[in-house]
Amino acid sequence: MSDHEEEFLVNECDTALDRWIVKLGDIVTWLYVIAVLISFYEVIMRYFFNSPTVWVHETTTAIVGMAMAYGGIYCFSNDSHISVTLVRDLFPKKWQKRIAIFVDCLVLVFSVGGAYAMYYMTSRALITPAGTFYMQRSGSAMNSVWPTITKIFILLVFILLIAQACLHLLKKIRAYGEGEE
Amino acid sequence: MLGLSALGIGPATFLIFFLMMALLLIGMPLGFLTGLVALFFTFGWFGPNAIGMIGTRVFSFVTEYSLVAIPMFVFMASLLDKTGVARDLYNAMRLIAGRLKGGVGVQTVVVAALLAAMSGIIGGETVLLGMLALPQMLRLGYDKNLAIGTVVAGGSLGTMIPPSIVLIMYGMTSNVSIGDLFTAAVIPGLILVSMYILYVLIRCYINPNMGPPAPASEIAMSAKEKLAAVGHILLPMTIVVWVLGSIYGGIASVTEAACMGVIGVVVSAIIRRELTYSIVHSALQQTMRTCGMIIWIGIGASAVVGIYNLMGGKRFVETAILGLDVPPILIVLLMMAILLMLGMFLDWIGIVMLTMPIFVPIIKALGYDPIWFGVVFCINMQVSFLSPPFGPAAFYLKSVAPPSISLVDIYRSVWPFIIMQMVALGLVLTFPEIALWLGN
Repeated sequence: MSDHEEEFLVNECDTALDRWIVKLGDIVTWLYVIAVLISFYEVIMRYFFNSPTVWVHETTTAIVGMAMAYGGIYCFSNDSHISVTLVRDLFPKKWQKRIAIFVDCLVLVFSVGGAYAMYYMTSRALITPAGTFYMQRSGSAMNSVWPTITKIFILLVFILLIAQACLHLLKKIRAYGEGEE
Repeated sequence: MLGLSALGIGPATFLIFFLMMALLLIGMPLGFLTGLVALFFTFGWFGPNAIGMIGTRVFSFVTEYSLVAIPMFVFMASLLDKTGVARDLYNAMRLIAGRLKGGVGVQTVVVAALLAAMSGIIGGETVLLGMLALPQMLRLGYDKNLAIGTVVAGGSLGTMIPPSIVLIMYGMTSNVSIGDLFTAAVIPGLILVSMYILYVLIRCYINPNMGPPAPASEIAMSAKEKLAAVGHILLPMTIVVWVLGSIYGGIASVTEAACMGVIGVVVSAIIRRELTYSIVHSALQQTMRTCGMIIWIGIGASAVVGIYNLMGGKRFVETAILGLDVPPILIVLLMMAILLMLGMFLDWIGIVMLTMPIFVPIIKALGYDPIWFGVVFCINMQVSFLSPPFGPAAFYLKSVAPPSISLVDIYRSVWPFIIMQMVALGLVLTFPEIALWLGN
């Protein structure tokens, strides 16, 4: 296999957007540290001072949820999602490339559908049926706006995923054309 | 919209299964393909107005409090990987290996069990043991197959011995107490550990060439070294007590205990003067990658199961299975067979999320204890970690093993351990008390 083909099938995903997503991810991942610290604080407050907080539980869930959602595009940018390529590898090189392009098309379809679903949900968390702006709250003791923030964040993740999927697809199609010559 | 509902739930079930298999085999990422199938059926069966459901499934999945424990345990394990805690523990444990035939093998299993009790994720442990224990055993002239098998089987104990992220996912999807699951998994986990140890000892007793003891010069330790060794064993033990103690002592929830575990590892890294920014940073990156992968498989699977249930799939499978005129245990065995088969193709998280929402209600309807089923499921997943062609443990080990060891070598080495796991599975199936006794 030539170097060119190797690159096409193994590490094809290095676009500028991917690098940017990884860089931002290195910041987002500190949310995990914050979650650890505030959960520790909660245990100490509850166990030793008998005064549990109202905000830790919800905040932890929200920030960790956002970090995990971000993980999806983080993995997509360095192609570390689990996929089974054993069968695909049995095909001739040319067909492997075609299948890879087809898979990227499907990822694009998924990202658009997912973004639409998240948009549908987020818009309902932001606009009342009467058409005025509000922010959906958690309805707990803390009654935070975390649900709305998390929904917006997940929507943004899906929008980034659309952009990523487009760029991956374009890059593969271009590389496929070059490979023909 | 596409009028898929005209198909009826039976054929639709097969269509879902066929689509997922086809997409899996052309190499689409698992996390995305399940989501795609979910979207396809949402539109095709219910029409565009049902799309809100997908959003709700995704949102409620990622904001589930119990799920927070997973990134925390992954973070903890990544930190452990990057410090020398495991290496020092392994070296100190040569105290127990001594001049025993097969001693280093036993040492490996014991260290594996301790590491498993500290964190509960699989890949990292297999990699660690592959780097620490495998070269050591090969150098001493251990039988290659015995050495590899011990490392792979020991490394996958993390799923069984609490805290285990497999049990956390199971508890979440089937609405049973994660703490109770952890308790129930203790004895079956220890049974597996003892079987591995006995196996190594018996093989080496019959044929001493399989696992020669370390030369006396290597075992001799000065008093100072012994003291240091005790320290290296005490530190990890403290973390184990700290994490499991805060769960069983009722001080913290499982999620909080996972956070406490991170604190515990950070403190021990400070004591060992190993804590640097770059260690924390690369552990965080690893956490982001591992969780992104795991959680997105969960997101997609959660969406597809949600849609399938709404289509009436759950009722369809329940009626089909409960309508079978066979003893309940046969149904359980059928489920085991399905799980083992899926284990050859899918990742554990996909299996939990796809099958448990359907299987567990059936198990309850048959009058079985869902806690017991969780443990049975967990042993089942142990087998799937090892079994070819997609046994993840084998791939993890391959990534760090000496180049002379091929995947074929690894698969040749694991079968005695798979048999032992099957025996343990049979034991827990036949005598549910093994799992349930400790909790009562």
